[in-house]
Amino acid sequence: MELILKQYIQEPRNSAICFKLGWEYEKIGQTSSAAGLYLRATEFGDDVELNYEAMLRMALCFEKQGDRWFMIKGLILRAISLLPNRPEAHNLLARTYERCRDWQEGYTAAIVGKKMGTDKPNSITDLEYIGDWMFDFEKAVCGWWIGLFDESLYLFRELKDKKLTDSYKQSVINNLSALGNNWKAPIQYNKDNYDNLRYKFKGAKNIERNYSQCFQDMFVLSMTNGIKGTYLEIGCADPFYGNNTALLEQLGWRGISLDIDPQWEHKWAENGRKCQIANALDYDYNLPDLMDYLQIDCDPPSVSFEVLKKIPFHTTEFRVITFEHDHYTDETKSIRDKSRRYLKSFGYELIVSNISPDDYSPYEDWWVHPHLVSHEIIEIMRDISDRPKRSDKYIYDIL
Amino acid sequence: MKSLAKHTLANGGDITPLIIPSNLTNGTGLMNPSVFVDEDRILCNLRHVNYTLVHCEGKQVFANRHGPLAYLNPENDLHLKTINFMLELKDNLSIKRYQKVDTSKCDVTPMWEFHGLEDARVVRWDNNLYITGVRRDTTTNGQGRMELSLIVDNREFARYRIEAPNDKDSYCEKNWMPILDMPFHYVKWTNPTEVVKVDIQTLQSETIVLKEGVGELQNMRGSSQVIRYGDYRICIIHETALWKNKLDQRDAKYTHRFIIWDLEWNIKHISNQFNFMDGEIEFCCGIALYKEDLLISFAFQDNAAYILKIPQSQIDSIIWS
Repeated sequence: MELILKQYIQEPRNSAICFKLGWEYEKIGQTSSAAGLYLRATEFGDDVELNYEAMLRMALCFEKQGDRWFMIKGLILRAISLLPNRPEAHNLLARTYERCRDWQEGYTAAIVGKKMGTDKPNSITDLEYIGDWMFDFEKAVCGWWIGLFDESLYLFRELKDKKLTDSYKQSVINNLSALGNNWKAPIQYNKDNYDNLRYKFKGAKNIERNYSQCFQDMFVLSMTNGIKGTYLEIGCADPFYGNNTALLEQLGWRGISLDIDPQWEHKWAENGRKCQIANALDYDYNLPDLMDYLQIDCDPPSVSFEVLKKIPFHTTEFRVITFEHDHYTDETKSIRDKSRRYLKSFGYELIVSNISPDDYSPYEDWWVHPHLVSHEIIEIMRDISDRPKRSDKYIYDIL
Repeated sequence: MKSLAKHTLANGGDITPLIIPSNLTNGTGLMNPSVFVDEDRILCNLRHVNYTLVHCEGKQVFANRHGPLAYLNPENDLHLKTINFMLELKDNLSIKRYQKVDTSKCDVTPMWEFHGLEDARVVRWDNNLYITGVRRDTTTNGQGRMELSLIVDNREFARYRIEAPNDKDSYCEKNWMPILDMPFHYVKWTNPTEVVKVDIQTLQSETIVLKEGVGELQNMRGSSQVIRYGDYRICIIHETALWKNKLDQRDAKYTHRFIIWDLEWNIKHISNQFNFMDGEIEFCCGIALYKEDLLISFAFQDNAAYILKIPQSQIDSIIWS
């Protein structure tokens, strides 16, 4: 420092030297000294990039001192006015709003920052900008607090799989943990929606309501066009609420429902339905040559995949399969691809990919055996684009 | 205008930053150091404040919404708080040890926005070590009075609040310059020179010297202590230019001069104006002779403290400039 101090004394209006001396002070925690010198660097300097960095360094100094948010916001905004396409200031602005609990401002700043801050970061010192995922992080945090829960969770899940710093990674994990799972209440079909159905299968007109979480039952009925079929339901849970076979059974279908959780046995019996409490990995699958519907919905998705491998596909064919890969929460991000390869190897065709209860949570793929389902219906029902498909928009064909 | 630091470095002098660890200060301002040579020890009182001075100099195109001159406090605490640290310096003027001045024995609940003893100068009078500055927290309207704090083993052992000599209702008495070789005497005003004597028993003061003004430079405010220098007494004073910009926002600039009196308090010389490090807000609370060199302790922008060593060979040419 003493060398730079002496350089400063020789050239006290040299903005680069002012900046360097400020940085020396900041490195030892003397943030007031540093801030004064950074300001001096801007006032005596014509280098816009250095001025930009000096303003942000001042903001970071005041952030370290704590409780100077009003000034910090002003400094960052002034920096943005100098170089509006640089990302560092936008990121700090969004972060500052977030830390001030100015959620709407933070959410907006993150969006604007990601859109505007497209120039490469270019600073002498660390302005705490690592990548444009930081905008998504701020958007996720702030978005939650203005009620954009689905988007927030989606962003956190996406972030979890990105290369973040340890502290951000931990924060993402903490947020996902604290914000809970994203199980959505079933979106119910009722008769008024008949005209909107993507495919009006036989008997659809008579259906008053359904039970599945995301129209799995309506999908099965569409693909099988109203037959009275058989099912194997693995991970059946509640007998009605969010259940994929309740409607089928009411329409005359019969089958096997399994769940590992003993709590369900009594509830199914109370409701006049029968489920078996069993570990699907150890179950003796003595099945007929043909069944009409297979559901696999276990937690976590790695278990679903292990169960899938236990199904005797060499001896039993299924017309329709719904497989829950929970890609949006799958930490390995591998189950979806593995299940797809596996089912294709047995001749099954993916009809609907990435079904989601909202716009952000791809959690199931829906399959058929092409030899056992009408090609005409397949053409109507097929949608295998990568994007998450909100189930109501899909089943009503309003994507 | 001459930069005293630049001139000094170019002529064999030296400068040393005075920095204590930021975990003691939250990184906010270290300012207005007051150097004092206490027999063979170099002491220095260092003022810490809880704000950051934000002052736009140069083009003034990066002002904040408070204007070009702002004292940036925590938003949830607008009190201006001063804490003093006593430093002992090594021979090379680096810090040998430091300790917060413990005021707990004398503290009472502050009644105004400014807390603590501000711009304390170090003196030793009648074998007692004091720091003396202005305190403004004892009334609800911020009335300022010079105080003397008796320091024993780095603790404030007693506190003496001195009444103004002539106008008991004056709002703020500050920057009285303690005269090191005249116990309990201060230069209250430089030009016309007014010397006051204080009585720490009665807490009163009286004017004992009041000279005619010399020349037109009469806006000279106290800064350092007054020290003996041969057949003279010398000090550093500051002058202030205060104004408001087009947005009615305040701004200021300080400049400095050496003052030389004879032993009868006749002003013999007023030096040219100078700054310390080209800053517009700088302040000096201490000068001392040490091994024939002149030590000057000053603050830059209220945010950083330094001590300047002027070699003996340069002293006369600088103070008589």
